[in-house]
Amino acid sequence: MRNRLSNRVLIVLVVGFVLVLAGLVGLLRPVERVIGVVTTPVARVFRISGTGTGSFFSFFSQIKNLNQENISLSNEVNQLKLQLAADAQMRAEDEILKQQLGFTQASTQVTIPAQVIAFQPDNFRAFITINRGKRDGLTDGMAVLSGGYFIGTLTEVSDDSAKVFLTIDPDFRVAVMDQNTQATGLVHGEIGQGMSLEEVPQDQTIKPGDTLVTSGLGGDEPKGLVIGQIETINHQDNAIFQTAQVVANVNLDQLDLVFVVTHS
Amino acid sequence: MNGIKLILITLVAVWLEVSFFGALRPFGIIPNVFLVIILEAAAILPRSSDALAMAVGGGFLLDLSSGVDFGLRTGFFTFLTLLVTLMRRTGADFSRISMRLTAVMSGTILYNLAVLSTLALSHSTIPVGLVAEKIIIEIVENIILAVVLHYPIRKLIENQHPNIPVIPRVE
Repeated sequence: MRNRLSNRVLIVLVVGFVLVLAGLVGLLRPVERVIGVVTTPVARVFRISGTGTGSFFSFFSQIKNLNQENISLSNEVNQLKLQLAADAQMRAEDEILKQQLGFTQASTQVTIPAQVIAFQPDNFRAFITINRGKRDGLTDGMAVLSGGYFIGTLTEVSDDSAKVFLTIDPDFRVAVMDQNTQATGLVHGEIGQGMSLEEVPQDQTIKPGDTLVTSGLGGDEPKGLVIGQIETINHQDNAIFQTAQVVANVNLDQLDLVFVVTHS
Repeated sequence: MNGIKLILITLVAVWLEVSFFGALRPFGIIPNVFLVIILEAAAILPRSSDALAMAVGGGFLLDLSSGVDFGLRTGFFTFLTLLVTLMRRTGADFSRISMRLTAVMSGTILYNLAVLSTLALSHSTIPVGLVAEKIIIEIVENIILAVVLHYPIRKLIENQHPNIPVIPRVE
């Protein structure tokens, strides 16, 4: 009996080793497909329960801040309305100029909504799993948006699901441009769930509050997707490049619905 | 029927970790539900191959959910289960709460070190303070889960093999 049990342990270890090896070389795609089909609906239920539970508890913790937050948001809405009016005026003038110069119309973005069904099972990497895949026309490298912000790119797209490589992951990199000053640089995620802007030449200007957008260089992401705003700048005279902290007004820990850019 | 129970426990643990707590994130940290449950299973189950099968199956599912480092979780939880089995063979008494909570704390630290080790290769600086803060919060959450889940898990998986006497030392 002792030998039978030891053989069992050995068999389990060998099976585990073979599974990992097969997964690394990509032989488990059919298995992943089956597991995805079976587990995706249940994972969605668990995720919705988690979101609901979090909302319930956060309501009580935020009650005392509601009034102040309400005042702050009302002021922000008023400012945004003024800005929208000014932007509408500028857009109208821009259209007139384009027509006069004979510019062709730029194509519009086509997006597909997707629900988040699972998150990365640790606290230092940043990936999510969504419930759309190849059957919905998705492919690796497509940009993903949430709340209007670029939050990552697709990776490991299977038939019914896909993973999103988030911008706050320490290994994520994207070429960006300052929308206000046209300065170029590279945004990458940081350990600890933030983003930083790097490789901005010293002779280019960046300011706190500037909006960063994808520059479309060196990647599959369309140009012009908003990533975030510059928060603080780390300026050192003897350094070759400037660096800065970047913040996005979307909580990447609480993602629920995202949009995949299929055409732009 | 008993094997089905273990499979269901493994599946629920994985779903709780990647979907429920992934969305809930108490204090911004996802607790490691599967770690707590696999340690409990490794400490209670009389047949170590059962705990090992849970570790391999659950680790594999967690690797499928992860976007990077395929095989890390399967390897880690298999190693952890073998370690607990070895400790039981040498007389470690996991019926004591201090022993179980120490195992949860150590397992949490080791798991996070394993994840960070893959980042250390490509990142020259790691913010030690921030990392320590996250790990400490996760340790507290895992300990709370271990206390809360101990009795339900024990009731579910003890007497897994009624014909095999439950003895401290295993094969």
